[in-house]
Amino acid sequence: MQKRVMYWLWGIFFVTLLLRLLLAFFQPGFTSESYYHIRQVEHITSKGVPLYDDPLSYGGRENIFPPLFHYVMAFFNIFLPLEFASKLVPNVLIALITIIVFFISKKITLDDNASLMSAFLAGFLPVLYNTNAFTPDALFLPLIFLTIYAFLNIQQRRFSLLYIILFLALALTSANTFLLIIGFGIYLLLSVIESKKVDSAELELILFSLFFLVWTEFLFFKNVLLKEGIGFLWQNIPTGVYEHHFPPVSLAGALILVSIIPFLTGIYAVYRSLFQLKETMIFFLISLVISTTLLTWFRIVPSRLSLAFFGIMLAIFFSLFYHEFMGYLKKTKISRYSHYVTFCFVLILIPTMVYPAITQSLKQSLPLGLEIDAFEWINTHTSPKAGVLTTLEEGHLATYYAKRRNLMDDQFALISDTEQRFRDLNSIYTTPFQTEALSLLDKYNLNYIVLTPHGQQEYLLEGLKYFTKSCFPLVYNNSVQIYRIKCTLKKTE
Amino acid sequence: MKKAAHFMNGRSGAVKSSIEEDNLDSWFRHGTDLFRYLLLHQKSFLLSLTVLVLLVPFVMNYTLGKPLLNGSESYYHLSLASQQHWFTGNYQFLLPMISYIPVLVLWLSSFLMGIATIILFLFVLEDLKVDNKISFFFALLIIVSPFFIFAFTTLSSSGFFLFLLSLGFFLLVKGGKARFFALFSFFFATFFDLYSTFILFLTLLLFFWSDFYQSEGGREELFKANLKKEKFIFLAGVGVLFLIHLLILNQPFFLGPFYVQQFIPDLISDLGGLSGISFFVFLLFVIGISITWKNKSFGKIYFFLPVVFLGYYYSTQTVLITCVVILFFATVGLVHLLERKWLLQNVKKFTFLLLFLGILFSTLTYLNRLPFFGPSLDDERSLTWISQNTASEGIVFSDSLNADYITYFAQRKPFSFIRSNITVQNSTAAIFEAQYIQDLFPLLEQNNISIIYLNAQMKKTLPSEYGLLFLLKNERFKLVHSSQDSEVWMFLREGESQS
Repeated sequence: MQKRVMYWLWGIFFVTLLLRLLLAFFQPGFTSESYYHIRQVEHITSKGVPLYDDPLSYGGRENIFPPLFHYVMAFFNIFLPLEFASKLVPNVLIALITIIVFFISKKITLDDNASLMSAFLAGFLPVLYNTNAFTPDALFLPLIFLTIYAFLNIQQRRFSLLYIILFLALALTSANTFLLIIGFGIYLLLSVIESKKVDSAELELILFSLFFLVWTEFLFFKNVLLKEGIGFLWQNIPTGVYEHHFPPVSLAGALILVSIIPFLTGIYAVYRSLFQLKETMIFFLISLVISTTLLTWFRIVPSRLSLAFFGIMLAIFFSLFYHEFMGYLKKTKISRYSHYVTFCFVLILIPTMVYPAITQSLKQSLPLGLEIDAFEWINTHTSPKAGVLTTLEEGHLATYYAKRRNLMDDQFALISDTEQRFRDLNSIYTTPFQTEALSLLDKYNLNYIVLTPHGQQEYLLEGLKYFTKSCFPLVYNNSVQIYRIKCTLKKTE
Repeated sequence: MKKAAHFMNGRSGAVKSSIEEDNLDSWFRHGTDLFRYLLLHQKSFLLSLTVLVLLVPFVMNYTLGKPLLNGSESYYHLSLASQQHWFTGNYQFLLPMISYIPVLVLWLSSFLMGIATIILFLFVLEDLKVDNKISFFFALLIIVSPFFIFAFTTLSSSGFFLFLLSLGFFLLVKGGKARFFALFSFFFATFFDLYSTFILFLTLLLFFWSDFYQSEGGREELFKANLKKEKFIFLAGVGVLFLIHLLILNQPFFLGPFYVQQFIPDLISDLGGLSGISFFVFLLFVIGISITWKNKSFGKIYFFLPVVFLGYYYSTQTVLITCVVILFFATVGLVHLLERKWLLQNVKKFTFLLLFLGILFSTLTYLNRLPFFGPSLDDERSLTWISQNTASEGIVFSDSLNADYITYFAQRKPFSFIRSNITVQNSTAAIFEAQYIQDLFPLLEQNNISIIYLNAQMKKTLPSEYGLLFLLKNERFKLVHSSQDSEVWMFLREGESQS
């Protein structure tokens, strides 16, 4: 690689990283689901194993997941404070996508400039700017693109070994790895349709990946599969929460998240590749896009993750467009101005990508400091056996900061009555009847109700309608209200 | 592999298998000595494995003190046997005999039938000169599959049918006078349901149509008599029996159902089904299909696919036959993968290790789950208590899944079966979901229900804050017996006092 290209690539990586870190550290705390993973990392650091039997979530439950991300973070936690590492490492990992995208683009275009442009695009994709999220996706996304890169180079023996190692890591990071397997299936299908011969080594690695993934999924999710059957794919998400996990993505919303330039150029590149150029490598990448789209359509992969994957793919496809466009320009009379064209591209990309990326980061739903204070107050002022009612989104705050049982959170696997719980949770917040609320609070043995500004906004409430001082004394009031539950409908001795 | 194709179509010279046979041999020769050894001693290995696999459920049930036979279907047959007097139109004419046989002997006969099926199956494949590797892996996949384990550790009509089919073909391919005894075996095999008879007819058609049968060698070896006459006797015989069962004896098209049917889990045991196959085997089936779909040699067996899948779509009770067809393609897929020339040898070894571990893992998981299938020891105790301590005309209300246990152990009439009509199913749902005694009591009274039986599974799944469990707190219900998590409640008529 030329030094100039290397400097530019590192430049893009560091600028991306710097911006991400600034945004991450500028905003305190993490997104609510992050606290679940932070708890897991803390548990691994102290006990060496993940918290598969969680005594607090849902009042006590089993939750099995592939733990590689948590182990990686636990490793960093050895020499870095967890709060610092939890912001630093995921952002470094996501910023690394720029370098991986560069190499994938280089592989398919053999053009340094086009690949640098793709890396730039990948660095500022708005959909990736959840800078305060601490989830396995931070490891999953760079790993899956590195695996794709290894697969594209499979003819070289060292890359087949790299592919195997990366695939093992991927399967141990996230169950969403099967989007790669579905992508392989579509790739084989497209190859058959186009009468293209699939390389033998590719076929062998696809078979290996298929059996390995199924095997690891069985190891991790045996009980979930037996209990939920094929419904396992839908992660036992209550219908009422579907909108949250799989929000319908409008075209306008998608355009903002993946940015308009990569979107338009990506579609053009896909069209050219699929119907005119018919290159095997591009077929493979397009298969992955189709796989992601299908899985999102069927609500199997969360739309946020699929948009991120889709956005990165579009950034890669941009290199095809750029390469072709510059090649075309060189044949015209304005070829000597081609570097100005590059500059123009950058000028257009900055307002359409960097600004939405920053906005996206600032728009993250983070718990307020005073909400965190309230949960910490519960930890120090209530019995360790107490149960706390929070909104679904705040469930992890109750288990992380308050260290108390919650009614529910967004980890639904293996919970038999998620639909019922979600209905009950909403009823407690919205019912006007005290008896109904008390019977539900009795049912789940809850002792405190937390009403945060986020909760008030979610349920459009100022306060709960059935509150009385005798039954629900206010024990904490600092924008967040915490009520103790004194009454019960249970029979007394 | 070539010979398997030959068996299916095999017009000599027309079959062009893409598989390089030598590759597998060299893999076995140089790859692992264990596989080579197993292939050489396949019969003893497969038989030992069958004995082991079929003994595990027995040992587990025996250790836990559970009834030896699992599954509703076993008790459906047993309860019919105790009620049946003589011939009523289908295989039940055998049932009066069963009613005099102890359960242990019944279990043993099912176990022996499983072993016999494998032996006969291997002999048939050997006589048909099917490739050693194909027959080895086909039999191996059958033995470790949940459908086989379930069929031959319970009283299953499908298991019995598979045994009779194997026996019939064993006698048929033996040739000589023995082949006429095959007629008896096929005759008995038509007495389960119309679907089985139809499958038998198709199998015979495929066999007579196969080039093995058509070839000079096969013909000389098997049938020295007039071929047309042979075909006619077998096919017409089964055809006539099909019509007799359909038009005169009103045999059902599908027997059962004996469990709540779920299309995917009933086929893939790893998704919580009662039997079926491993997900890994299903993947091999997909690979097998993708390999064979362009190969004309397999054209005839493709006729089976729409028939068995359509049958399975209508009743998952046909899972055994569906699984056998799936396993054929899975075996083709597996042998193809083994014989294929791999560029990455280490990847090959690792892939096959994963595959075999996966299938083993599935089988072990299934065996581990078997003791949780009903009936439990508590079911047996409580239901036997009912038979000894309640009025014989009492109708028992419980989950439809327990109906056959109730009929056999309690010797009482259950309110609803899983096979009951929609009106009864609706009444059952209404009783379970009743919110107030004003809704519940009339339903119980109208249907003459006097006993309510709850077992652990029902108590786990039914809500306790409302519905039937909640309403049992009323004074008109009396808990008369309990054994661990099983409970027997009496519903007292108005005016009856609690004593």
